[in-house]
Order: sequence, then structure tokens, then C-alpha cells
Amino acid sequence: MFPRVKLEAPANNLYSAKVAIKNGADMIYAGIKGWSVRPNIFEMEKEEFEAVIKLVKKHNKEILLVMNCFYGSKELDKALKLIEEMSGKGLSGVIVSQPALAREIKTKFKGLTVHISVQSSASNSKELEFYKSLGIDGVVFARNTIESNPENIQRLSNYGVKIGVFIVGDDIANYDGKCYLSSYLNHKLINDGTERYSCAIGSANKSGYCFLMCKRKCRLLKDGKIQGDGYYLRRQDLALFNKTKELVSSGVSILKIQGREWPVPLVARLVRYMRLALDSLEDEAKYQKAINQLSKLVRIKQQIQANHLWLLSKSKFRIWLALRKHLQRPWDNLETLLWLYAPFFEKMRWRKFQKENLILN
Amino acid sequence: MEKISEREFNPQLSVIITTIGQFQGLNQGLFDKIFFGNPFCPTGKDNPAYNPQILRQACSGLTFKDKLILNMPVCPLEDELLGITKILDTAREEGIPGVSVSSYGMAAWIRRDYPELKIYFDSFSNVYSLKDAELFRELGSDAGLLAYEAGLDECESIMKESGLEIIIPVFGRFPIAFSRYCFFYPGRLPQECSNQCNDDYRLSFSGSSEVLQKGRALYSAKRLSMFGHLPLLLSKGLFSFRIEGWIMPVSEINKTADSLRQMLGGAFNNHAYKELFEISTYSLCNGFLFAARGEEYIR
Repeated sequence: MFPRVKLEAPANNLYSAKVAIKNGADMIYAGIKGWSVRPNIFEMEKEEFEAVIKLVKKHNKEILLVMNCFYGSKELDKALKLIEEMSGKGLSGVIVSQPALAREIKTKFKGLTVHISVQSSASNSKELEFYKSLGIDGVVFARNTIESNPENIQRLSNYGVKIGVFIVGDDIANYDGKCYLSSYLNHKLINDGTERYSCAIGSANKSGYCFLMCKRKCRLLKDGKIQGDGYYLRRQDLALFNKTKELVSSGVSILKIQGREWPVPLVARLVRYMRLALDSLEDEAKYQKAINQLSKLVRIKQQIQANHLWLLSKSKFRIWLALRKHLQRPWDNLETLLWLYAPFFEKMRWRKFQKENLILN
Repeated sequence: MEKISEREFNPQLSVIITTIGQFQGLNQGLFDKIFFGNPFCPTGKDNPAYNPQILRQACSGLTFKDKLILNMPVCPLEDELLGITKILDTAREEGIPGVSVSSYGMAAWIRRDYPELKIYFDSFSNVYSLKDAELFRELGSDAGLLAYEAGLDECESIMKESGLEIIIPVFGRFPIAFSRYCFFYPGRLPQECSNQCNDDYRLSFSGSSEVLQKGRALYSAKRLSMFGHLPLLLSKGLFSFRIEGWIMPVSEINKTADSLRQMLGGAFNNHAYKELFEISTYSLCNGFLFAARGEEYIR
């Protein structure tokens, strides 16, 4: 008998929240423009977020507000004000990265659940002990550490803090929240019209406008001589859904799907098949079917992302974002079309990507 | 609480070095604190952050033991905690005064189980605000580095309002990211490490001229040099500076420290200035302090 775990899905607008709930998500996480580790285009206006709260509450699910940037001294009070406002509207909880902010929330808003973001790169029991002392409810473990040793989770799950892991998502070469690769090359402060003090373009930590330098093609030189061109900093994507049974039985409480920046139809299918996998843990045939579907989806996700990156490399990032902002709904439709046709091109394109050494290992 | 502004001006100079080779050639008398060990590389054979033998070896050759600060591993896995306990036990036995940590959990643990060790927070602790700094102070720390992305105003206000000693990197290699993966031999064992990352590998992104140096499972970016801004930093009340000696030749560290000492001693003489600028003739970066990109040099 497997214990019950929660499936946490992303939403970047009301429509995607609806779709995620319809497909079986237990929790929805979403950000308000300017306040989470994603560009504004993948976040919502306050009014839309309030509508999402209503929708989620109507379905007896949970809604978490993502506040996982690293805020400066001037921004923390504004962040707390925003949380207070949303708390009054029925918010279930908050995802944060800064322990100092987490402690403030726990002190001031006792009814709110507080989860520590993957941005904190928690990777061991000492971190859990510390977060437990602050009264934190859940910790999402670092993306590039937990996979190697899932048996440790069993021990870690006894610390009284819920453990969350990303089961589908990008894997990055560097630690979440501890990388200045993008901001070193691109950092720029702008006023983006949100309530925050300023928006740090290029910074993954301060505003989530990361230029994903680690996913770009680069050239390796040794003593000035070219060794080769390739995606040297890119890692294989996370596919922990293959280990769903082990994770669930060892005590993981939250299974999280990345994807506020991914097309809605893709996230919808990921949620649907993950739900199927969780509901059929005792039924091997159904479980395997779901896992196979998820594997296929992750491949297609890589292709979509590769196209997205290709577009990013061909256009100015901000122009691209502005275009997406104004064409959001048509773009969702276009991506749905691409999604439908993607399987026809899958084999051909997959071979090409492999040839280009897109995925290491 | 003593306010920094009320203290007598006493400039502090520290250095971070990673290998026993660097350590043996270091002119220890030039520094107030010596941060020792590579927190990013679990497989390097000569890394005191992961190897107690190397730490003991270093301690036996230390003239000024009260200056040594041991860098603790960043984001250790659960399986590595036992090894870290051995390192901390060694540090305690050898009478090392402090350790540098990169997370709150590690700080809380060391505070509880090794109260005699002073705690410093490193730049990857992500201290961006006054409240973060205050939390570290509650955990027993009274000095450390803010996140690299913190601006000069933040450094100044956090230092003044928290009473903490904020250390500013002023020269050397600027680590901008680190990875659990070894890019040379993924999944290798420590005994297979050939220190290949110490070679002159460079990485450039297609379509741009930016070059990053890879080394020791981290990317050490172009050289950092803040010498031109020392008067500005001092005028803001900042008084603690660090040379980022990652993979730097030890002779260069000593030479820089010597000139820097002269400058911090009040001797803003042309000779010291000239020497420092000769050392840092290319690839200057310090933009984060001025709300620009890290590699940008603000004049």
C-alpha cells in the first residue's frame, strides 16, 4: 500500500490553472508579476491570481504563491504586504527561498503553509533540521542532488518537514540559486512597472530573467586551441517519474512538475499521466503505460524547448518576450498545433538533436 | 551593539586559497584571515574542505593559526555529512578559529555542535538583505560576504545596520557558478582525479566573445579588480577586503597583498597604485556593485 502524495502543478494564467486542476493536480503554484523566479510573461496580474485562488478553492485544492526571488532589504516589506493581501483572499501557502522571509511569514501569517523553494538548494538533513526549527512545512530538494540517492529520502522524511521533489523538469549543470552565469554576462536593472523595487534582467536569483547560458552551444579551448563545439554545460533533463514508486514509498510527500514557461497542452498532459501513474501504483500495466507516456512527453518537451532556445538565440530576448505577451492565447493555440504534429517529426528531429550532442551522457 | 562606524578604522585583508601548494607559498603575515579549501570540489585529492589529512598538513605549517578559516563544502549530500563531521572534528582538534559556510543549515549545525568555531557566511549563502544578514548573526556569525549581486548601497546599509563585518572581494578570480558535475570525468572516483581542470581550459559562448575559465568544477570568470574603487569603498565605511585567490599563482597573491596592504595602511602612493594596475592590466570586472553586469568595469 502506497501513501498518498500530492501532485503540484504550475500555472501561468487562469486557463492553465483550470487545465491543471482538470487533469488531476492537487496543488497549483503560480506567481504574481515581478515576484517570482520567472520572467513577467509567465506570471499573472494580481486580479488574475485572485481568480485562480477562487477557482482552486472551489475545487478544494491548494494554491501556493511563488515568492522565490532573493529580495533586497527594500523589497522584503513589499513582499510581506503582498502576501498579507493574498492571504486575505484565501491563499493556501507560499513558496519562498529566503529563510528570513519564511520566518517572517510563519510569525505573521500562522495559517499559511510555507514551502522552501528549490532555489535554496537544500540537499541534506542539516538543512531540514534548520527549516524545521523555523516551522517550515515543506522543502523542495535540490534538483541535481536527490536523484543519485533516493534511499536517503526515507531517513530524511522522518524530520517532520514534508519533502518535495521535481519529477519532471530541466536539470541544470549548476545549483539552483547559486549561479551568476547569466547575470555575470547580462545583468541589468530596469523598472518593469511592477511593484517591486526593480527588475534584474539577466539574474536568475533576483528576478528569474535567466538567459540560460548553460543551455547554449559553446566552444571549448585548451591552451588557446579549439577542442570542440557543443553543449558542454547542458545536462540531461530530470525524469524522476521513472522512480515514482520508490519516491512515494520512501516518504516523499510532494511531487512537483516544472513548467510555468512550457506550453499549456504539454503541462496538461504531464499532469494527466502523472496523475494516472500515482493512481495506479498498484496496477503495474496502467502504471507502465503512464510512465511510457511521460517519457514520450519529456522528449517532446526537449524539442519544444530546443525550438524555443533557437528562437531566443535568433531574436532579442525582450522582443521575443513582448511578442509572447501580446500573442499569448494565439501562441498557446499555435503551440497546441505544434504539439499535435510533433510526434510525426519526432524520430527525425530526435536523431538530429542526438547528432548535435544536445543531450550529454 | 557596537556600530561599525564607531570602530576605529582597522582595515582587514583576507584571501581565499584552495590547495596546499598555494598555502605553502603564501606570505601569511600579510593577511588577517586566510580562507582555505575548495568548497566546490568533492573529488580533488589536495582539498582540505573534504580531506582532513590535508587540513592537518596545513595546520602543521601554519605560523599564524588564529588566521585560518576553513571553507566548508557547498550543498553537501546526506552521504557526505559523515566526512564533514570528520573535517569539523579535525578543525576543532587543531584549534582552527572559524569556518566559512554557504547555507543556513550548516551554520545552525556548526553553531550547535561546534560552538567554539566562529562562523563566516560565504557569497553562495545568498545574503541579499538586512534580514538575511540578521539571521546569520543569530546563528553566531559576525562576518561574511553578501551575494555577489548585492549592490554597493546594500553592502553599506547592511554593514551599518547589522553591525556585521561585510567582506568585499577586491581582486582575483570571481567564481560565478559551481556544479556537482565534473565536466571532465562525470561520475569518476576521487582517486581517478587527474586535476585536469587545473589546465588552461576556456569556454566561449557561440556568437559572442565572452570567455569563461573552467576550473575545479566551477567557472572562474575573468579577473576581478576593484583597486580603482578602493577610495570609494573606504568612503562608504567598508573596511574588510578579500583577494579571491582561486587558481591564482601564489606569487601573484603575495605581490597583490603587499601592495594592497600599503594602500590600506593609508599610503595611497603612486608606486603601490602603479604596481596594482600592472598586475590587473586586463579583464576587469566589478559591475554587480554598481547594478550592472558582473563583467562590466565601471569607471
